[in-house]
Amino acid sequence: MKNNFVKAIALLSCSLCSPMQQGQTVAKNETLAMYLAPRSSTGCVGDKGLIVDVLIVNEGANEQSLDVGKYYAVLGFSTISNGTADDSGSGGMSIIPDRIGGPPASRMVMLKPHEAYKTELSIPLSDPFFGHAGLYTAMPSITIGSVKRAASARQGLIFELRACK
Amino acid sequence: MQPEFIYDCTPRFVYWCGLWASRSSGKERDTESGNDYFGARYYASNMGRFMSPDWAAQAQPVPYAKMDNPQSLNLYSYVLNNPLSGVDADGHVVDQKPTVYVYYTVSGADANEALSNANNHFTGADGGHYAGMTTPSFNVQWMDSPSLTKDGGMSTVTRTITSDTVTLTNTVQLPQWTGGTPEQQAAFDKGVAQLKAHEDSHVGDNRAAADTLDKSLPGTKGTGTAPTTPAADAAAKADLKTNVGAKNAAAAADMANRGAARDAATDHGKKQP
Repeated sequence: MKNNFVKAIALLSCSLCSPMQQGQTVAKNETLAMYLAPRSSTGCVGDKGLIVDVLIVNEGANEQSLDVGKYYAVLGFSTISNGTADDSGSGGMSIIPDRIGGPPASRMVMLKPHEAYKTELSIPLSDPFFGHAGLYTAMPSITIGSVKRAASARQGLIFELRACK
Repeated sequence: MQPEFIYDCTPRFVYWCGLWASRSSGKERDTESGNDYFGARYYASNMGRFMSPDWAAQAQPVPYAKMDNPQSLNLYSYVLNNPLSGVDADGHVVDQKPTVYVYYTVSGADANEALSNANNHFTGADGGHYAGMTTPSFNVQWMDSPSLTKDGGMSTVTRTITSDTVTLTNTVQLPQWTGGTPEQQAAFDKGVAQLKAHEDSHVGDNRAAADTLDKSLPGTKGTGTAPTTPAADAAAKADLKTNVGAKNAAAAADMANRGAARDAATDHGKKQP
């Protein structure tokens, strides 16, 4: 039941993705798979951000441990189209955060077969890069414990910002 | 499939490029390639005419081009107001702007507390707390050369990027703190200096990704086929933009991956890679 729920979310997320991505796992470490499920594909210019659910699913037959304290995300963005696109072309940007000092503390969770760990990714929209209504692609590079997902232009999360006000 | 006419523009030396009908003799065709692309006929801005008098005598503007308004050709989408400012002689130069360092102020009774507060300044996309942030952004300007063929009642326009400029700007946000003893100040500054050096390494990575993008753009094509030449050209422009956009997306992803890899390898600069 839970597995079906996860698959449903994964498929739901893929309504925002290219056909290549539909139904596919975006990252795997042995039997741990990562899925991204945007809660919404639209927002307004000026919004603080969009939330993406991040799911780590144990698709194997054995229990797996996962260090969820080690969660790090770097984002890449690209413009698909916006009000300035005809004249200025599409550009891109990234957000790379850093800390001073050691890594965050470990926090282990155990995932039984077909269990999923869920956390969030917040796509910040405060940068002037998102100052125009249009279509954008977010390409996160995510590490949770030993599960890594590299940013991919082909598997980016497409979202629309509208001029709501 | 014979081209009815040609148009071309010059990326390096001219203000205008023209869309001209060719002579049917085919003398101006690129017989080597046998395709529909003809050699450039440069329009010397300082001379006010095309450099080939024979062409100038024979040229005819195509219907949708306004030769008295070269901007209508939309071949220099990004340098219309000052074409030469966007010219990239070899198409492989990233215009990297100086890194913008933005300092925010943290409080703290001593250096350790100030550094701890700095580590809580930013909330990342993952909900974690961070002290520094590097944000690269880039834009692309390009010049493309169009070519046209007609087959039956259909026009096919292909636009090919001949040169480009990738403009890259890196913004680095860092903490600052004052008020401690000289020793405490030195301890804080040491931590920030290490962070700054690490952020600068991200800047270098971003430059490498931008270089890759820059080198990948020349030769990028957009093609459109339609019953009319203007419609085919519009489709070619849209296709070209799509293809450039895909390369931009790949570059942004490249920056993200390079950043994540460096942070993982160095623990955000604490370790040597």
